[in-house]
Amino acid sequence: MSGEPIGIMGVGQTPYRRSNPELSAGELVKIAVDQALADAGVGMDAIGAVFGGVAPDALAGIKDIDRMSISVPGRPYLRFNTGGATGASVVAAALAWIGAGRADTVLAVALERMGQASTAQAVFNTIFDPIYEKDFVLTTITMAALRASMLVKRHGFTGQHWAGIASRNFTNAVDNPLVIGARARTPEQVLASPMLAWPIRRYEACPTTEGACALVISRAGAIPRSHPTSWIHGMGGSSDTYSMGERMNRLEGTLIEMVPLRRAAELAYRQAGISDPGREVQVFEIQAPFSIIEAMAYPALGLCEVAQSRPFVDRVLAGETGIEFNPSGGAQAANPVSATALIRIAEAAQQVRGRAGPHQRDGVRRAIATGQGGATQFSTVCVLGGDRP
Amino acid sequence: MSREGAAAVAGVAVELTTADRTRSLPELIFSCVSAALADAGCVMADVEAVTCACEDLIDGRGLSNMITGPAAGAYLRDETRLSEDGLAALSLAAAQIESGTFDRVLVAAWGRAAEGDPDRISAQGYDPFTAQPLGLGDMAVSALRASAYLRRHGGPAARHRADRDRAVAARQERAKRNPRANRLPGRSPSVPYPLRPADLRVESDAVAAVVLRRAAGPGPAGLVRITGIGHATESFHLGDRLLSGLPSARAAARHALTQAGRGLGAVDVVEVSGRTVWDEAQMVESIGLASPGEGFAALATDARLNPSGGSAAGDCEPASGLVRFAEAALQLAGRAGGVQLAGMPRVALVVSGAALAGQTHTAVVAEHER
Repeated sequence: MSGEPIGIMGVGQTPYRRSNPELSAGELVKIAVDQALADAGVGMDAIGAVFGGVAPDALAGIKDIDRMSISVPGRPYLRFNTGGATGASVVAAALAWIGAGRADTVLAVALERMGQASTAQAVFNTIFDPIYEKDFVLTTITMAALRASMLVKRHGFTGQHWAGIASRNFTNAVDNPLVIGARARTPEQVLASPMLAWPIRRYEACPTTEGACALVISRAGAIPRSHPTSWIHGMGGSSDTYSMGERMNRLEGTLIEMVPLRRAAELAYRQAGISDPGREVQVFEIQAPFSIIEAMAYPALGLCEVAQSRPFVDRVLAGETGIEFNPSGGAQAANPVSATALIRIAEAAQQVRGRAGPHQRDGVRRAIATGQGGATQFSTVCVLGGDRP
Repeated sequence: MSREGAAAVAGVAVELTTADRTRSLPELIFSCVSAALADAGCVMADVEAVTCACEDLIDGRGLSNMITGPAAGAYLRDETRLSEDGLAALSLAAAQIESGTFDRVLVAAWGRAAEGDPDRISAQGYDPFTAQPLGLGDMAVSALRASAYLRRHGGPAARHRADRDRAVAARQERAKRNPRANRLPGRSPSVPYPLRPADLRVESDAVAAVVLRRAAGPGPAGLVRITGIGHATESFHLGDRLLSGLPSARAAARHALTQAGRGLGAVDVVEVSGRTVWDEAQMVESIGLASPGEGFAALATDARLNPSGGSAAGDCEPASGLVRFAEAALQLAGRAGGVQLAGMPRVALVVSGAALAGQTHTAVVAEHER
């Protein structure tokens, strides 16, 4: 990236659980923000702007819930909403804001209150066309199932692959103290869970989750030399067409090739000077609320060819790649939709800073976090590193 | 703000209508964005990023930019969607250019009042236990502000009524001359006291699009540059706010003017958003363009204030601020048509608020290089 380096100097996260009936939205945000500021060693007086991320209003049951819970009087405030990619949009905007000299430090916050919704999938049904699609009961689960069936047909994936990825994520989450109620599950337990929408089973899908995440992002000149910092080496984003039918057969790639994620990765890698991500990156935090999304992400992130995605998953499950995927448990273990992309960046940053806690991996110099929103319509890739650019 | 590398306006377009049965919202957006690209003399392939402002509940679906974003050109390129006023999206797009992230960004904002009731939708943002049962929505807050204004400035005196009538007549007359104004009747929401139907905006289906590009070096004559941007935020709770004024509008405008190195006296054209003529009057007073209690008189007599007719020409959140900016940019370029100000305006100030009831404000200063 050009210009003065920008880094993450503070991280704060609430515990992630199904709902928080005892806490208001503002109280959840305050927990994360207080932690992030303390971690950064700064007070609110250092914050030049506050950027908030909340995705569909209907999930929280209140329009613009961020206004009462995230915005801070006296500070410029903007709200972002790109579905599951919302948290990454907040970070990308913070980079532009700081890069433009508008502020030295931006507080990036994302909040999810979906535990207040009577049923999240009914809300997600409203993202689809009201005339042609809603009555097909399209939801985030069924649209993932459509892709899964394509992966089965075209690349020979089986339920064992999805179950293996899910098992690893759930098992990783046991070491993450922020995932409340985390339980290790074997592939057999995943395969024995009820079918949600063929071929996706309950334990291959993410749970309903609430929580908040906050990052303190600063230009290099505002970060003390000795402060543990995760530097942002690259950030890319790309958007796709809405209609899944239009993504089936086109020159750029099919529905299961995650074309925008690939383009976002290419942009971020170019900024970061990465040519071989499988060798140059130690940790990937992939925003994949379903196992099949993670399997589709591998080739899009340049870790294998599309045609080799199934053998690559076999290698991942056998532990042969030398890459750590989702040490936090990923979005499959906890998926507070609006905040998930920010959490992936937070977790990747903590790995680079050596502050991930019980799920810290050894020797992490570079980590990648992805963001995914709107039925994989919006994709982001953020490259984080321990070395100041 | 350094003028070197600052964002410049390459093209603008505005589309204001009511319940056009021949065009869906994506088609309205596509039409407006296409017009902005044509105005900029470029095609979508020349644009690196789309930064847009829209609201799920106004668009009538969850994560609405899934269907509306591609209509604005967000296909296989960067897309940032804000749930904010369109002027805030313009501010971010300018930052994306100033930071070197992108060279050319398309900014778009839209809201379709014909699809829903913007005031009822705004009510969903208020506290469900302590405020919503009172019937609070943004229109009710405009009425509360109007009452507070009357109390502060001497009650419903004949002078205020006469000034208000003159301000309403002036903005309606300007809207009639504005070639981009909505000629169809807007929605007709209920009107709480002391507001009158003539005080309200023409609730419309509104789309605005602006193409911004990097302007390295001095640039050609006629270039419209963004030279100052300001943002300010008030408390969420209405009880904590000054209802008879808009301190965040004042703070945002001051910041933008300071950044541009301009005083209010240097401003040749001002475009402010407002749900009602009362909100517009309070806005120009808060910014310092009229003395306290003289906002209506200023709107009626000062030709540089909302020459477009303001929200009487058509309005719907969250497009409000970007519509106002497009009108200001056209004034600076000398292309405002029937509402073009005499004397070649050179400096414009645009101020617009966002949910809830103006809790946040964005101000932008744009200048024409001769």
